[in-house]
Amino acid sequence: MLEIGRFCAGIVECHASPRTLDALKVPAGVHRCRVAPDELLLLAAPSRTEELLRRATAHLAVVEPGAIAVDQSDGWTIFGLPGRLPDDEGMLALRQLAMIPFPERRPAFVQGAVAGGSAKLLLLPGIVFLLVPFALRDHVERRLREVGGGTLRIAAEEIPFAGLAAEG
Amino acid sequence: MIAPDNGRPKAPKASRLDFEGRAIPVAPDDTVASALYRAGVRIFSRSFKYHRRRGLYCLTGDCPNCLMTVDGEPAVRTCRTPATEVRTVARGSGWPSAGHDLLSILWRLRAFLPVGFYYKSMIRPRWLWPLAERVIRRVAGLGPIARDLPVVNRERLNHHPELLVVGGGVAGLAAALAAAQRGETVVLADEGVIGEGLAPGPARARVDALRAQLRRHGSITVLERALAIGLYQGPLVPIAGADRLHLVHPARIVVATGAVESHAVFPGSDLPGVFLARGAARLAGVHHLSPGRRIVMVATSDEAMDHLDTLRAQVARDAGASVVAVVAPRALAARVPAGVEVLHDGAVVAAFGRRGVLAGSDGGLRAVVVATGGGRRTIACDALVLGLGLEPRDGLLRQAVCEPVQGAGEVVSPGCTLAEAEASGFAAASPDSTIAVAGAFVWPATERALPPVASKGFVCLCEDVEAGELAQAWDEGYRSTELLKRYTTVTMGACQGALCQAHLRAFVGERSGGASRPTAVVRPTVARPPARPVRLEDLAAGVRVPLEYHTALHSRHLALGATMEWTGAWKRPSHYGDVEGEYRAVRENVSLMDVSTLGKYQIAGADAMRFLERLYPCHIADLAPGRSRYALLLNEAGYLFDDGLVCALGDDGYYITFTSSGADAAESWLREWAESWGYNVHIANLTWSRSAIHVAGPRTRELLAKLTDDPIDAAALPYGGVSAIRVAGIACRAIRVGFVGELSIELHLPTRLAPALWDALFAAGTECGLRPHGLDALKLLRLEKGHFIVGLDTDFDSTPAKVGAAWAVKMEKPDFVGRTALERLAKIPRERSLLPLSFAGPRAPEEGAQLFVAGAHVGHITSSRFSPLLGKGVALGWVRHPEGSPPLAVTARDTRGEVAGIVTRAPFYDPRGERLRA
Amino acid sequence: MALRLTCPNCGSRPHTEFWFGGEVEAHAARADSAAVAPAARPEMNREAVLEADFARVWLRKNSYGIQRERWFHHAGCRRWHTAVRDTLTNEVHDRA
Repeated sequence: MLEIGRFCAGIVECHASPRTLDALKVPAGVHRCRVAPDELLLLAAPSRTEELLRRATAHLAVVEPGAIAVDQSDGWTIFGLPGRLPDDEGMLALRQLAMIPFPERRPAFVQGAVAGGSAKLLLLPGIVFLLVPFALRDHVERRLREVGGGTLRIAAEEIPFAGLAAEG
Repeated sequence: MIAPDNGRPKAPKASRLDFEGRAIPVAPDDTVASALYRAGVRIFSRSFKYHRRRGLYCLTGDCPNCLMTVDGEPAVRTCRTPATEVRTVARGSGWPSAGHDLLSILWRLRAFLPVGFYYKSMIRPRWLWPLAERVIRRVAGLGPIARDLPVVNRERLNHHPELLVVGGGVAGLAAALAAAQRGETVVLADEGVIGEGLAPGPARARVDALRAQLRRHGSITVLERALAIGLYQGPLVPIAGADRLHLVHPARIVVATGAVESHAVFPGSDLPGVFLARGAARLAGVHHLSPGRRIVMVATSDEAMDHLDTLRAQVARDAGASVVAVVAPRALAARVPAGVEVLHDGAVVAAFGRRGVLAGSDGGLRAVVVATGGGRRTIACDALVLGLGLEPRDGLLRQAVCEPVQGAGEVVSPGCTLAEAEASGFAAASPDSTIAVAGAFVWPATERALPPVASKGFVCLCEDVEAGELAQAWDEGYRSTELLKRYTTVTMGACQGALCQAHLRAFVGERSGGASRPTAVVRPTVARPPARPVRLEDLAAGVRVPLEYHTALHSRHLALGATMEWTGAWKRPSHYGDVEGEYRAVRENVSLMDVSTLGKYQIAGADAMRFLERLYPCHIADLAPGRSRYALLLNEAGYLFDDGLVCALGDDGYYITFTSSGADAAESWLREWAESWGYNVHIANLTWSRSAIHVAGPRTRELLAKLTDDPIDAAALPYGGVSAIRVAGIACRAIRVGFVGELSIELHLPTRLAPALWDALFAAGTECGLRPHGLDALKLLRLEKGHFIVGLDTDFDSTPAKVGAAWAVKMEKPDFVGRTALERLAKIPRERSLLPLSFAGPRAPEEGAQLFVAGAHVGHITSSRFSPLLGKGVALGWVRHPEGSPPLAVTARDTRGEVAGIVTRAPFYDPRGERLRA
Repeated sequence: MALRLTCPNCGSRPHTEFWFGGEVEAHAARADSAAVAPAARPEMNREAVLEADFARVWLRKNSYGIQRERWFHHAGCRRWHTAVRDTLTNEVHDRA
């Protein structure tokens, strides 16, 4: 039985020059996901969204006027799939929905098409967080069930994303 | 590891199968073909064109003879299908049956069915062709497709190994093991179960030994009964497995698909009872069945002599069966055991079948004619086993264009020893091995001797191409392998040239210069996927479900009984059951619409204003914070491709929207221009994280006042205004818009809060007569205002002037995207316009109705609705007016008749916009 | 079917993750679009300017062989990159 979790997270998207983003410091427990040289996605526990947005906005205002940080927490829905090796159940489900070659190193951030939609994946030891646009939550859930063939359970409720926070 | 299946239950193993109403017993290791053969079935199919009897021939999955309809699926290779997994089997074609097929008369009528006859005949009279086509479709082919087959939804599984090996013989296994020993990940795919088709002997022993080693390597994924469909760029090799489609994206590929016994062409070589040697050995050695009672064998290699031993071991157990003669070169004759007649250096030149179709004869082999140095001998026999040599099974390898592919084993050197095959596999697996590149790669096949050219007999069994037909095509001017292939369809059948390729090349070689011209110059035809017959369900695997976007309010719409429709990738409500009621709610009370599907972007950065000013055809610089403006989006050609709003936010830059269907491409367009101009702008896509609810109707303020303390009067939030307000405690961006022509406010807010706001508006709105409206009501509401919808009313080449939106284009601006094109187009007279039309009658014309002026066609209607409030039909339509000004009156002609209308002015409703600006 | 492109931000992906954006020359010409605005080139004959604009908008090199072209990685970083592709063999070279 493959258990897939659902998570909500604090997601702050920063748009600034590459140098500014390189220099942007984030507190422990916040994952830096570099979308593009001029775009950085910060992923943290949902309780930290406002703090994160405030810090990022304050930093950008000083360093680079015109740069922006926006709260994109509501833009994504997050599935958590257990597994690391290509033949682990969670990865097997992903390999049916994505042509992306998943790296074995952890942590890793990968972007690409999953179940036909634009997805972002945060691969941590033992679990993969799959971020898909909020509008695809039903579609991706359906596709996960289809490839799971009855041996998979998806949590009904979202729980707060913690990432690697516990390990600091 | 063996890839696990999808968790679907497997059908229990059966002990018998149903063959055209007969119950056939099945042994555990049987294929469908072997079970039928044991039960006495000799005619396995009727040929594609002439309905000739065809029996088991290759038994290696290469020839078309054993294709049958298995459990409703046509053209299944029964020699590779385990019998225990099958319930019903039937032969595909033949009338009344494949056993007694009256259509075999076609062979006697072949003079009237020359190659390419369907290109040449039935051209005049023209009406004859559709009739002829229907007959040909019934008569030719491999049988009908059952229309009641269950839908099979297959999924894909992606693999990213360092090495893909296609073929699980000695060479393929050696290649996989070599790579795994270096620590590489490997996918090994085989058409069957590895080793199962080999009769006991040294090859089987070596395969079993190597196969046993696979288990020691966790990095090897074995896919059995998996067909490699083709080599695609990438590289990508789709492999159809038993229960899913495997997409393999390897770094390197080794093709070790082996060799197929050389096909023989002489009169009667397609009769049931003629076998290729590896097939006969499989029948005897694996299934313990004798290919006949009186067997003649042609053996030209050591391997063929091994097969002779296998056959003799079988007939020794089978009373009454014997090998009566062996045709062999003198050098090998010593291996023929005593008691079997040997004909030295002979060749089979003809075979005869049993007569008496109506008497129920199976038409199988009766005798063969062998030519030797000493003359011709006719030998009575019922089986002929041909060990004439080997041809590479290179259908997959010949597809390679620029992929990192290496051949190994018999596919590059047919007839090589086991040790050579193993060494070749080992070498091919190395990352340093030579890479095959189109044009530079010399096909091993081109260096091999080609078979003798026959003047009679079937070159191609799949498509029934006879040797004489090739000659005829040549005489008609089709003088290359590629042209002959296309004209005669030789090499284009189910075997994809596995059997006939060499014969085609031999023919072309002889005709284009004979002995004086080396046969090596006659290249094999180019191969394309699929290398093996493939099911449509494999092609559809994983892609049959279209992407489907739902807004955060999707479940609310369903709970309200909405009928949903696709708009782009979104599902949106068409209506909630009462279009007119929804329409009246907007016009008379207040209504909600979910407009979360709008594309929503924030544009910030030092150059944000300059960027948008240069992008849009309207003014941006004078847009004060807290104001919005309707903006067209033009491409460089001056054509309209989307529209939306621009809202000035002050320090935070701009908030812009696009239509639902245009939203997806909007970001690429914004980024392309920002990059081209080198502006310092930041583009944040808020489409997913922000939802939007459109509140419209004269009682909008009354409703919102119940839920907000912020000012929403005409002074605080005028038409075109933008402000931040809290509604039901939720922070929203409120935008005064006007698409439906009433007082209306779009509330943009974080997506996860949208259901809460929707519910709050609903609860507060009951006293105001609130109900939601869908796209159907919206289309009428905006039509009454004369507003077009981009993509619905506009064409790809609609300029703002053509659609009556020139007011939204400021040509006095020094530059914007499309400006120069519009200046250029302004010099060309406009001959077509999108015009507002009104129809006074009791009904509006249908959308798509054609427009006429004095009987002459002038255009068509793009949108049309009957307006309950105005009591007439309102429409938008394209009208041609080459003489200058448009006509005053038009007639619309639709499926129900004609409706008279006039060209008028928009808006039809509230022409002065008083309600909108209230 | 399986043309692969290498996104500088996301790595090697099948082309289905991208949108095609045309020849790089057309992209480069967009930077000059201001040059054809009336204010920018008062000295030029306006007819000649419009003709040049027509060529810029509509005429393409349509190369036989090596072509530099624009691709947008819509399924990933949502950024443009330039790829070098051989239109004869469909081979894509990673470096622009």
